[in-house]
Amino acid sequence: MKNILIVDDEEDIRNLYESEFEIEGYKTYSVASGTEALEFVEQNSNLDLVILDIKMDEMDGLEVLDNIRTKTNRVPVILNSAYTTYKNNFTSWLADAYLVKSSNLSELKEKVRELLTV
Amino acid sequence: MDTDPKSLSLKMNLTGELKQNMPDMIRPAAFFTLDKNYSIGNTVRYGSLFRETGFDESFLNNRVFPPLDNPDVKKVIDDAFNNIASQARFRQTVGDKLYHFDLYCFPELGQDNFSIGCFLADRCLDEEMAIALQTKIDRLDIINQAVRAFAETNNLTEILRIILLAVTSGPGLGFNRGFILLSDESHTYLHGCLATGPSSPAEAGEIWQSLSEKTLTLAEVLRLYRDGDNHFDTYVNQLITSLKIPITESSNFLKRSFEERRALAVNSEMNLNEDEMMLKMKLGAENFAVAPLISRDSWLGVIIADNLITRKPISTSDLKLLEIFARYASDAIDNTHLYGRLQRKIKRLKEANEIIIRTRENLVRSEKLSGISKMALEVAHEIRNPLTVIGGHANARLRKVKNDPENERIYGIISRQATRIENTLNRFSSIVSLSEKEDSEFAVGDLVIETLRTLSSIESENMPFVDIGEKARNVKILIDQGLFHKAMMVILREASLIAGGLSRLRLEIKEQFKSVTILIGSDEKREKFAHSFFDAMRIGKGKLKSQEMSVALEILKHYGGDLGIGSPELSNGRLIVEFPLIMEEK
Repeated sequence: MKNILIVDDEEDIRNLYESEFEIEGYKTYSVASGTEALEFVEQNSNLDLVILDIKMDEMDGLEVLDNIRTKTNRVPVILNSAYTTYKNNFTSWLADAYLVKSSNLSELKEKVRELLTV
Repeated sequence: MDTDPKSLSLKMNLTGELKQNMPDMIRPAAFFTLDKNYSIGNTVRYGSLFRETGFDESFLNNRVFPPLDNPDVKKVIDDAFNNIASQARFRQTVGDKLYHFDLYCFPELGQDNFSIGCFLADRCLDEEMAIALQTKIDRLDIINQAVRAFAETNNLTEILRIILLAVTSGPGLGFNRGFILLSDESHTYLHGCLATGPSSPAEAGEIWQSLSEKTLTLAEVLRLYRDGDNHFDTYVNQLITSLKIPITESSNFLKRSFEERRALAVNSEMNLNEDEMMLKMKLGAENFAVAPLISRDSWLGVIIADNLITRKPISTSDLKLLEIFARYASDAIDNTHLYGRLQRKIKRLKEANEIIIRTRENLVRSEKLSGISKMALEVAHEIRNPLTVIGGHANARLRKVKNDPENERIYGIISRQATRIENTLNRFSSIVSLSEKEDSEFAVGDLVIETLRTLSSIESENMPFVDIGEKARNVKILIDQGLFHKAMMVILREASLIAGGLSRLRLEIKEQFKSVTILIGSDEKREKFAHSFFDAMRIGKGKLKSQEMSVALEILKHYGGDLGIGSPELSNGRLIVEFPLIMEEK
């Protein structure tokens, strides 16, 4: 079973994603901040993918992504934001995918499937 | 009657009024007596030239004093017979010449009261000097008028017109014709600009008659030209505008006048070369004067003046005056040029100012829009998160209520409405996102140099050699400056690793095939540089080792560019970075 980390400061989003990806057959973990996310990545070498929100307090998703990339290129990261503008940010290009949040999770699910298959 | 000349002289010296008005004795003069019949006697003459005045010895002895028909002369003589000493000034025409005299008469010298003493002095020299002085005053007055007129205009044609009027004005420098040739900006040619003067004696007569009747000042004549009241000068202007004289290395009288910074007289005795002869023939005058127009060290042009109609010789004094006047004229022309340059700069500043004002207005507008955009994005974000939760849960519930039509209908409505709002937000976000793009036109050469400087500073290495082709120097691409730097920094850093240091790189920027090409190579790995670069980048199956390099490639492709290896002829083993040029709209 593949392990997915969900990073989002909104609890309702985390709950939704956890429930939806559990149904899809993944093992999900969720954290509410960038700091917790980095700790989790550090401590869990069996992590397979990260779904990462951008706009968060303290440390935003791009900084988290930058930190993850300095440690490893192995874990795919999907940036998942309510904002479209970060697409133009150079750092965001380090992610494997950039998807804008949507009530229709099929695109996100498809991208997760694609990245984990590779 | 006392007829001793010595006693006559003594008596005159004792007469106070006469003593004060006694003319210079160096000039031709004569003492004599007149009796009641106005008959001359006892003449003592001074000065060898006196005879030429017409009062020769035969005249001055035992003859009736000739100018008695002049009432002033007769009155002075009669006054003396009535014991009143007085004087008169009179003119006498002898042949075709006019002579000027002073006559002093004083009462009886002898006991008999039948004669008076007279002193006659030739004042022709005085008159000549007075005329010469007046001529000089008139000339200076015209120069003064011209200088005043220079100060009142910044129009080059008017300045040239004033110069020519002063040069040809009768009371001024008095030449028959004047021509002005000016140097072009590159000092390659002297171009004929303006001329004034008659083409024939008949036309000269008409012009000078016209001017003498009007007795105009220089300013008034200038006004007539401004008003277009001038049907003369046509021939000379046709002549001057046809002249284009190359400023060559070899010397000619025009160039010599500039080099020697003085006016020169060209006459028939001078040995002239072929070009000089040609110019002389075109002007049609045997003798003429050339005065240089000089601004500091540069040659503005020349004034040429001649006396084609009157054939009056050009004197040293004429030349000197023309030279002095040419200096004033040079300043006036130079001021006009400076004024023109100043006007052009003011115009450019005005245009720049207008652009700044427009840019500022646009900036204010953009900042307002930007503020609105940011606010709108915040709102969109705040809406999108709950919408994702609501719509997401609705979709999840929808899958679980397939057998409950009422709930299926309600969750379906929630899902569709959430999707509808999301679509609106997407459209809105893309508009806001586009408005935030910062693509601008940049010269590729400048961008590359700037990137190299940054890299050189970070790596503490010297700049590499960059050859920017002539055509590529000003070509521009449309790009976000920050993204260009990021992409090129990655490529150049990797390239410098292959070359063994940034300073060992060799860059060439070329414009070709509607694109601009940056060729990157090194002296040491000349033929295999690009292959070495890509070998180092790949980790197999076409994937690139560095995430940064992937990003750099994405940036290039985003702007329609590419990174690759060109044909051997084109690239000579070098790495090629290519960007499309901005094509001008037709």
